Amino acid sequence: MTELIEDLEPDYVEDEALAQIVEQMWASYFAHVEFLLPSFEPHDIDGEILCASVTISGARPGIVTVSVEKGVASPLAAALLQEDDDALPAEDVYDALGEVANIVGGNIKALVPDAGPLGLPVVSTAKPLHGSSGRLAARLDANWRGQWLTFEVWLAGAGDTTPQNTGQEH
Amino acid sequence: MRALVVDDSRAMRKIIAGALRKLGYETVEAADGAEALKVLGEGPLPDLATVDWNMPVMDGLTFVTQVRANREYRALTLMMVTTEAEHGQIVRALAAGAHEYLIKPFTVEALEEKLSLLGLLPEVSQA
Amino acid sequence: MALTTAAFDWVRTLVRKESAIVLEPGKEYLVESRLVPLARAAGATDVSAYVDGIRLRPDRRATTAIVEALTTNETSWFRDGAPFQAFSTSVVPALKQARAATRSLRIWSAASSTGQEAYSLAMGLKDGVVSEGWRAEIIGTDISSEVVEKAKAGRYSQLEMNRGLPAPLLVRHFTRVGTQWQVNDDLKRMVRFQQLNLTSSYAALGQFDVVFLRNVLIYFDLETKRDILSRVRKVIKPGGYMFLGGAETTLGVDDNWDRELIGRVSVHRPKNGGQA
Repeated sequence: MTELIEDLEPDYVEDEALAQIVEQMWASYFAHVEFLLPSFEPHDIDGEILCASVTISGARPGIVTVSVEKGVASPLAAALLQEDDDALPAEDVYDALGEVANIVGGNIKALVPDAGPLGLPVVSTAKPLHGSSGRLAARLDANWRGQWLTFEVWLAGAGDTTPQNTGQEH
Repeated sequence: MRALVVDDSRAMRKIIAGALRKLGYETVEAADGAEALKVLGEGPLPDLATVDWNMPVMDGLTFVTQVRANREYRALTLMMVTTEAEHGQIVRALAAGAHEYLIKPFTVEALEEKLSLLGLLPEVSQA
Repeated sequence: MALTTAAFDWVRTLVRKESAIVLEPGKEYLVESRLVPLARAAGATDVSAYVDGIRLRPDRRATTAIVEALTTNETSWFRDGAPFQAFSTSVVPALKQARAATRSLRIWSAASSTGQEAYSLAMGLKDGVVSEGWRAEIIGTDISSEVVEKAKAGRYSQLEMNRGLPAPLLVRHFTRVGTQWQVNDDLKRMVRFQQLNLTSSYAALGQFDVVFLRNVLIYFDLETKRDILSRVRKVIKPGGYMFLGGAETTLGVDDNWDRELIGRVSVHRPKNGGQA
């Protein structure tokens, strides 16, 4: 009996590429604060998170997410906005996190052949669901000021359904 | 000099407008292409517009196309500032009439240098 | 945390003292982003902590590294703009007349670093004389074999691609490879890179129509500058040109050059046709 050979497509997106993209983003917009420290081990965030995601459409639909521990969302936004006060209105926090997802997502999208436009960022308190056949193509866990951020790229294989971004919009 | 900053992200508008003001620009903002067209129609014509691509209501490519179709706006320089990073997307934007293209993430230095290429740096710095 | 005023002032003073380059207030972002790699390598939590550490206990290697990180701006394409304009719109047309018989030009990028200057010149020549059937050859040299290898590869990160490269030239001459951009083969073929210390012999390089010797003489003492300039002059063909960095001049160093102004750009021509 011949075995079904798994999808032999090349990995368009890998951990290394995601790490480079996140690092370049950090160097461009967060150079004035402490470094983002990548972890060699995955670190699942316990407790409440805030998650921003953007969808990639086209031949290889996917979703790029950035999830942060709730306590780091506001300081992260303040850092991006270059504001001293960590206590920002929720709207600004979601917007900043959404833009982080936008920047990472757009650069990830450029690695995927025949991709359509990037979806607008969606921010929620839960990670979005992805199609059951979507696989985790790349992941980066990183620590900033003692708290965790997780970047993930989920990509469907050929012929899979588009991952659904079903998080609640704020 | 005057610049119109078009981006649906308030954070990004703040970053870009802040950098432009430090370079000597007065800035106005819009959160999407439709709002940006409205702003253009109302005040004096800016020298520069930085334009995000993916925005609700009207995206950046459509905005660029509409601006370039309007002879009254011929003096307006259009620079895409976007996370769309594929070769083909840059080609599309230039074909639609954008004058320059800056890929996010960008440093303030990179923004300055693009403006210098366009002859739109209010202060000319010596080498 | 962001760089304090005191830390920024300390860095500014250091850079000014060692390189004569002035960092104006408002350039904190530049200092922060340029020192990130050094700070990370030193194990500091951020740039501010790194600078404060060195302020407390300055050491020669660290201060030199800081100055270099802040004064080497060679990672831009068409750096400073105007010299490349002068090259394309004045120098090349003049040379086209002078070299009409051979229809060939040789350029030396004498501190080529990671290759942006050499490839920028190649872009200008390709869209200019090469399209008319001329041959153009560019030699890029640098003392560091590491940067020479990078230049040979012709592969650049997105951040590097954002630096001063006109978008129409980007799409014409580069292709995406993963997260990076690669110089196209037809442009790459115009440029050869090799390692070379400017204090050593140039005999093997041949003769050039134009030499770019920008922002590198600053690293040498007066005697060495003189030596380099006199030997560079010997590899420039009659009627050729030399470009120095914006703030640089041969005045007081070597008086065997004529200076011409092309717009705001100074170019240097060897006196006596470039012969010894």
